[in-house]
Amino acid sequence: MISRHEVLISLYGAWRLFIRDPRGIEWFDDSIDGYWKSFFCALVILPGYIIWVALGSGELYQDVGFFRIASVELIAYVISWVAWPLVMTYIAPAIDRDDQYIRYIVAFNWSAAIQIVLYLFVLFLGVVVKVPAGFAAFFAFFVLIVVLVYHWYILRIALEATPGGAVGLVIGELVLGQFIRGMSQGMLH
Amino acid sequence: MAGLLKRILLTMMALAALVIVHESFGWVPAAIFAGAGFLLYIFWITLRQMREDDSD
Repeated sequence: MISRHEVLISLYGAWRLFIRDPRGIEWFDDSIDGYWKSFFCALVILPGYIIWVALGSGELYQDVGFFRIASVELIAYVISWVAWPLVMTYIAPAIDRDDQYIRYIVAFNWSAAIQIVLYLFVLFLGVVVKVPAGFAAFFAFFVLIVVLVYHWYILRIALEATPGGAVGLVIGELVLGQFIRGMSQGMLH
Repeated sequence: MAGLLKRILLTMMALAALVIVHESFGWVPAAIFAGAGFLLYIFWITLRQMREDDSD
């Protein structure tokens, strides 16, 4: 079981990477044990994810039962946590980055905490502050770019990917995430 | 590592299929689907074990 200290240290490492400190990677536990523990971040950010999904997808859930929403969203959530690390188990050896794979996935998993805070901030602006729709859309796009650049940086530091290779992997992860999201939304209708 | 991730992913995909069957046809076909899936899984595990025993 992961300790609170380990969670806080890992979140701090994710934050350091977010502010472009390459030494942030040193805060992660890149052992096999640390690899599995990094998936605990899925539980850490689950409350934030529930708020984001519940408030951000209001129209999508109209006329859909609670059981169906909960089951579909839970399945999609687990798949989204598992799919990319699984894909990377094949990509990392192909690009000769086996040794960096665990370190990258640990950093990537913990970075989800930073990402959910950014997405919740966008939601806060749209739902609570009620900024104009155009501004909210622009800010959402801006946050998406920030998240993609953050992932690119993690790939550069943790996986030691080339700049072009990192761009390709960022796009791949984005497409996979959108595919899972699209499938789950399709299952709701 | 990949083995466990793959199993989790396949389990989730099977659950997604179960949700689709439930929404499309109701509880009874979903229960039959789950039962049939479980039997197929047992069958597959048994076949795999037999193959391993033969190779030993």
